[in-house]
This record gives sequence, C-alpha cells and structure tokens, in this order.
Amino acid sequence: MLSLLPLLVVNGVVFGAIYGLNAVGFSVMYNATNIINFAQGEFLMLGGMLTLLFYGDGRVPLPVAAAGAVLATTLIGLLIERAAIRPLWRRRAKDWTYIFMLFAVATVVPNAVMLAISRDAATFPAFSGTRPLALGPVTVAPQAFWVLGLTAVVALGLYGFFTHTLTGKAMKAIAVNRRAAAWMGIPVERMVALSFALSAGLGALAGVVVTPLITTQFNIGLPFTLKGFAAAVIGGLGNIGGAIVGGLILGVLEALSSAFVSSMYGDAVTYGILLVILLVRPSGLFRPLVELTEEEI
Amino acid sequence: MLAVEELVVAYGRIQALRGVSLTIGRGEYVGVIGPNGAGKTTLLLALSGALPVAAGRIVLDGEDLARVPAHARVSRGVAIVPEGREVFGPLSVRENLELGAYHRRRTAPRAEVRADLEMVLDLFPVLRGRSRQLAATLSGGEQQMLAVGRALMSRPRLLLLDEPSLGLAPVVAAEILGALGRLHAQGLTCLLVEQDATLALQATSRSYVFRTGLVVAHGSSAELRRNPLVEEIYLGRAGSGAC
Repeated sequence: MLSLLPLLVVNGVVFGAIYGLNAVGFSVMYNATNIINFAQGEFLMLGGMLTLLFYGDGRVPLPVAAAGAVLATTLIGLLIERAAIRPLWRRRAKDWTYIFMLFAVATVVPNAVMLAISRDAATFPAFSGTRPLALGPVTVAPQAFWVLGLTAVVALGLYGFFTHTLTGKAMKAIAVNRRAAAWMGIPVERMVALSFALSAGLGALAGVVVTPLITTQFNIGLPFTLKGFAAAVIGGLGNIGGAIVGGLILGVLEALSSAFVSSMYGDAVTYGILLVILLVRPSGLFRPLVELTEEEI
Repeated sequence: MLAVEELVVAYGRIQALRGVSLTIGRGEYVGVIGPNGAGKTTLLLALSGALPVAAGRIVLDGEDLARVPAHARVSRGVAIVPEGREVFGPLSVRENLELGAYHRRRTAPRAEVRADLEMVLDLFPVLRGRSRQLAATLSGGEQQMLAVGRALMSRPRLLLLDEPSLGLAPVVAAEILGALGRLHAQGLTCLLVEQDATLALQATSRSYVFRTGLVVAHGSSAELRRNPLVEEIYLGRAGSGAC
C-alpha cells in the first residue's frame, strides 16, 4: 500500500489544483464584493458541459470549443450579476441574501443544463493524448500537466493583478468600503461585474482542463463548490496563493484518506482534519488579501 | 463656482436638509457650522453623491450634479475627506494614495501622478515613512492626513472636509488645518464642515450656520464670531468638545 504513496500524492496534487482554481474563483469575487459565490462550482460544470456541446464529437476543433465555452460561461457570469446580484446590490441587501440568491442560481443552472444539453455523463479527449509520462516512480497523465500549468499561470496572474495593478487594488477597495471607493471615482458596479466575469471565466477554465481526467455531468457543480469553498477558507478567504495551497492540501488529504482509511469515510476524515486546521487558525493559513478590521465590519 | 439651490435630502420620511441654498466662489474657504443633527454631514454626502437628492440643484460651474453618480463627481473636481476618514484599512498608505488618483488613470501621465504623490508626502511628512504600512495601523491623526492626501491625489477643484479635527489631539488638528490653510492659500476651494465653531470660524473666511436642516445665518466668519445666534446655538457647548 505504501508503494502507492507517490501516485496518490500526485493524484491528490492534480485534483487539489482544480479545487485551488475553484477556490481562486471564490477569492476573486470575495475580494471585490465580500460575496461568497455558492454557484462557483456551476461555472466549472458549465465550462466542461459547454465545451462538450460545442465540440460535438469533433465537429469543432477542441481548442475552439473550449475557448467558446469559457467565453460563454463568462457571459453567463455577467448575466447572473446583472439579473440576480445587481438588484440586491443597489438595495444594499444583507450578505446572506446573496448567498441564498446564488444558491438559487446553483439550483437553476444545472437543471437548465440537464434540459438543454444532456443528463448523461460524458467527456472529451485530453489535450495532448493519453500516453502517460514517467515521473520518477509514478506515471502521470499528460492532462495533469495542463491542470498544474494552468493553475500556476492563473495564480501568478491574479496575484500580480491584485498587488500590482490599479484595477486590482480598486477591486479590493470596493470590498473594504464601497462608498469610499466610489468617491475615488471607481465605478463600483462595473467592478463587481468584472469580478463575476473573472470568477466565471476561471471556473470555466478549471472545468475545461479537468473534464478529460474525469467525466462531467450537469450535477458536478455542487461538490466542486463545497470543495472550492473549503480550500478558499483554509487558505484564508481572498488570498490567491492561499487558495491554491488550500486546494492542494484538500486534494492530497482526500487522496490519502480515501486510500488508507476508506473511500466511504474519506470525506469525513478530510473535513475532520480541515476542521482542526480551522480551530487552530480560524482565519485560514494565510492572511486574507482584504482583511476587514472590526471597525469596518 | 458651486451653487446649491433649495437642496432637500431625506432619510426615508425624515428630511435632513429642508431646502438649503448656499454658494461657494472659486478660491473661497467656506465653513458650515451647527450643532449635531443640523444636516452638515448630510450636505457633504449629497454634494459628493453618496446620498440621493430629493429636490433642488447642485450646480458646479454651470452643470447640475444632482443626478451625476458619486464615482463620476470626482472627475468633475469634487473630492471629499469624509467624517471618520474612511481610509482603506487593509491597503497600504501608498495604495490609498494611488487610488485617490484612480479617476485620472487614463488621462494623467504617470510622472504627474508620482509628482502629486511626492507633493502629498511633502505636505504630510509623517506619511512618507509609513507608505508601505497598512492604513489601518496608522494613528487617528495619520489616518486623517491620509484621507486629506487621498482626496488631494484626485486634483480636486472643490475639497469637501467633514470634521477633519474630530477626535484628534489639538496639536494634530492644528497641523492638519494648517496644511489645509496652505492649500487654500495656493488657490484650492474648500468647504469645511465643523461642529467646533471657534475652529471653523477662525479657519474660514465665510460661513453658513445650520440648524435642523436649514441655513439660519450666514456671513463673514469674523462677523459670525460675534453673532449672538451662534453663541446661543452653541451655549453650554463651549469646552465640552465634539461628541
């Protein structure tokens, strides 16, 4: 069993990267709006399902179908912001109202996908074939490198965005104090829309790269939402690097506990350990990018 | 420069401003004084776009700003130093100042913004050593300086100041008001809202006295200092400080 360890860790890292990407989606939206997006996993599902729809067994080249899916999901994110979030925002709704609204979105979207696209599980080909690559003692599917590469690029890009660009800082300013941000000339509503577009696009990208490793289906969104949220909280909600690290911890724990404990109790063990981490460090392992002081809350 | 005409602002059914009119000429330093609940802060929030206007006009250089959203007013030249400072606590001092120039990001050359940053740091040297520090870790006085500096970064034509001395040690308050006085001497138009009438009437050249959402007196600040009505409004308040 122990000889399996390297393989399990590698698998855990790959899935952890996907959780991390999803967690980043949570963090981006949280940084701009303080909203917890309980529809985040649906964006991942949409990325995979729409790619499948456009790809149609090879009618359209896969990269084109994937790009189309990311674009379409981004537009859906914008639509959700406009139709479900902005009306609440304008009336200064309480934070939990958004959670409930997004939960409703997370119920409607999968049903729409089931009716409009398919209720069956399906997948599309890996980007660079399926011949495994030897990596020391383990062999790894080439798709795993796509997952890891994309995660690294996204994490670095977003870190740079929030720490080095004025737009990124303006997004954080909105989360801290909406009114003062507007006084600076920051168009608050446009920024909120941008954060939804970013989160949706990131979710879709994660869905595109992970689908060849698993199968996708209309109902895979919710588990990814929960794991992405868990990863984001462990890493320190809002901290981009923390989200990735949180995802990796979650992925590896999950792989190890389902192998060494039991696949049935895997989740229980995983979340048990996460609970302990949170009890020791309630605000996550890393400092949130936007940490609200008591006065601001 | 600015003409406020019959301005009405309401919180639900309660009218906080009940038809206020005032004017500010270019380069003037105008004060608004009055007791708690007189509508002073409401006036500034309405001018800066944070509160909607129920009736009346806010005319800045011929344009009615009443329907212009808050984020567009700063590009018209209106900047505010709000009560309670409202700096971005989790962001650094430097980032706060950079965001002050947000509306100029496409129009101003970087060198110009950097020069303005230097100007602010020269005006408040204590901020220079703290530019990487998070704004939340600054003292009250330093946060007030940051709030003023952040507003200056937008290159305002009209600076709205809401109780900049509130809760500060007299020495610190004097330093900040001194800096504002120097800016005014260089031509900046300022509207100072203060509960501390003595302080406001000393700093400004002309003032309006507010009570329960109405202008009850106005004139030169020197005259108002001797006006019995002002004394009456503030009777018993002298020395008690702002609260």
